[in-house]
Amino acid sequence: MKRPLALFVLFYCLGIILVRLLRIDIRILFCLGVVIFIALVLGNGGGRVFPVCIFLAAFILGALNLKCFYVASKRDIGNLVSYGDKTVYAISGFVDSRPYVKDGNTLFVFRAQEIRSGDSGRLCSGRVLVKIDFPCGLRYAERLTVFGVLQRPYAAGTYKDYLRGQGVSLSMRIKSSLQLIRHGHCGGNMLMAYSERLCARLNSRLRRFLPELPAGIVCAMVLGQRDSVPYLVNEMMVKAGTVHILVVSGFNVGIVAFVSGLLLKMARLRRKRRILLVSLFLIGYCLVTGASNPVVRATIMGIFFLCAYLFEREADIYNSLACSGLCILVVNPFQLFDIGFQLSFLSVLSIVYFYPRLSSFLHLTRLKSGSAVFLCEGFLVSFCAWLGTFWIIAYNFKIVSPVTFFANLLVVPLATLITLCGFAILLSSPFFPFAGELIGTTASALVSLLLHINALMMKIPHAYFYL
Amino acid sequence: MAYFTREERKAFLFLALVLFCGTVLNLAFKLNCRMEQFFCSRMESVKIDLNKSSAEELFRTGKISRRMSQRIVDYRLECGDFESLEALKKVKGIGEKNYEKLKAILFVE
Repeated sequence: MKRPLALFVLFYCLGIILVRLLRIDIRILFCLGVVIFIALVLGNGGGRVFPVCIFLAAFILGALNLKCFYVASKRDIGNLVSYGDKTVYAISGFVDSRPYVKDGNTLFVFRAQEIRSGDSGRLCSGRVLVKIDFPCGLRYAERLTVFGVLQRPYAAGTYKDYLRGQGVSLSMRIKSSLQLIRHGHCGGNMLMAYSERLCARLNSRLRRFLPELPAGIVCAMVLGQRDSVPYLVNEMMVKAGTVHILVVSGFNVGIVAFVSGLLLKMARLRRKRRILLVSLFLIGYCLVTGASNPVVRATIMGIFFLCAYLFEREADIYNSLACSGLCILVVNPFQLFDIGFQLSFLSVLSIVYFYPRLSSFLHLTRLKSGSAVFLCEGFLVSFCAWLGTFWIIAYNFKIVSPVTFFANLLVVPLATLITLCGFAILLSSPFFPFAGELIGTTASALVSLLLHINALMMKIPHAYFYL
Repeated sequence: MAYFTREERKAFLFLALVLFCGTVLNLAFKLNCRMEQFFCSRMESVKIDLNKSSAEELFRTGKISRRMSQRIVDYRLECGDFESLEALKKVKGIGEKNYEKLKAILFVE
């Protein structure tokens, strides 16, 4: 079998989809699991039974994983509060996600540890989505006590699914600072808290060398922090189909791997140590950028390729993609229904599958001019990515942007240069601040050019249309 | 001396080029203000001028309803141009909450 891991993950995903669509009792799934396990032990000798049982086991594992994700513990805060409950609760816990500031509101996921109502209190677990009506400078892992009415946010379809995927069972709105008591930093994951502090430091370093508007865009491209991207810029990029440049993905991970590898090579480290350290840098970058789906995917794929290089084996891109998908789905099977996850994996899969076929069909290798090859390859990659993702975008966002091929042809090389400039500022400014100033000037000029091109694309007739 | 591959040499070349461009642009901005305006986008360039935009333009931002955008234009016609963004609160239906939302997309020259 050429790609067993890819097939394993495919069956795993089918199991998740089946449980999502049909209501199957968890006991039936357990029984099926036991039967398959016995068949696996009996069919260990070889033949066709073993691979069939392995893929069936993947199917059952996927189904069981999602089923277990549905089951909340008895102490879960969602089980303690009934529908329509208007009681004011006091909940103690800590901030479990990076607070997101939008339109002057602060949004974050709160990990509940104790719930009190009147004089009675009890220990609890689970996550609550908290919306504060004012900016309050909260940070990850900060201990809080919040007071308010708990509501079930399960009203609208997609938003309900999104919150369910985040493990959120209830929401709370805080309108006054009297509803919030801050106790300082002592909860959460130490590594995540440190990476968040590092991210804030890198963010302020970029802002020191860039004006407000370019800084917001460069921060999104390099650190994945989209809070400061102006609303109209984001909308314009959504319409032009170029918003993907504001997301940290495989390209950024590639730059981190390349730059860290180069620096370690200059330090004359041996290959094995270099590969191990580059892998650690990739994991660090993944945490700093908030470990979103595209970064996790790219990091795992990067480590997969580095390991192949280390053990002198050939890396298969389908298997590495499947491995990264499996890692994300094992932790949270609900991610399979997340649009970001679908777009990230389908765009890569589409490029990997269609690009070589279309390239050989169009005989791109016959082209002699370097610039013609660059243009055709860029257009083809853009087209392949669009082919894999346009139907998801059309279904979820009700928008189709035919201008996206031309826009990406111009915008992607510019975005590449901007991202490289952003990394160059971060690396050079601590040692040579004057270099940071000069690179900052170039980066802000490139950002302006990018915005002008995007605006120009939007003026083309029928650049985009809503379904 | 360490041996650098073609890609690594390209990385050093890129850094040198970016530094050179930065120096040239800094000089050009000092000599030509229009060039600075084109290449240094400010926050205002990605916002909508409250005193010059039509009801349709305001509606197309996606953050203002059709009725609200018409109310803003009517207020402008009735009371004259907005002196500051804060004056937006005088329009019927725009409270503190809506004002915070609109602040991110509008500006007054």
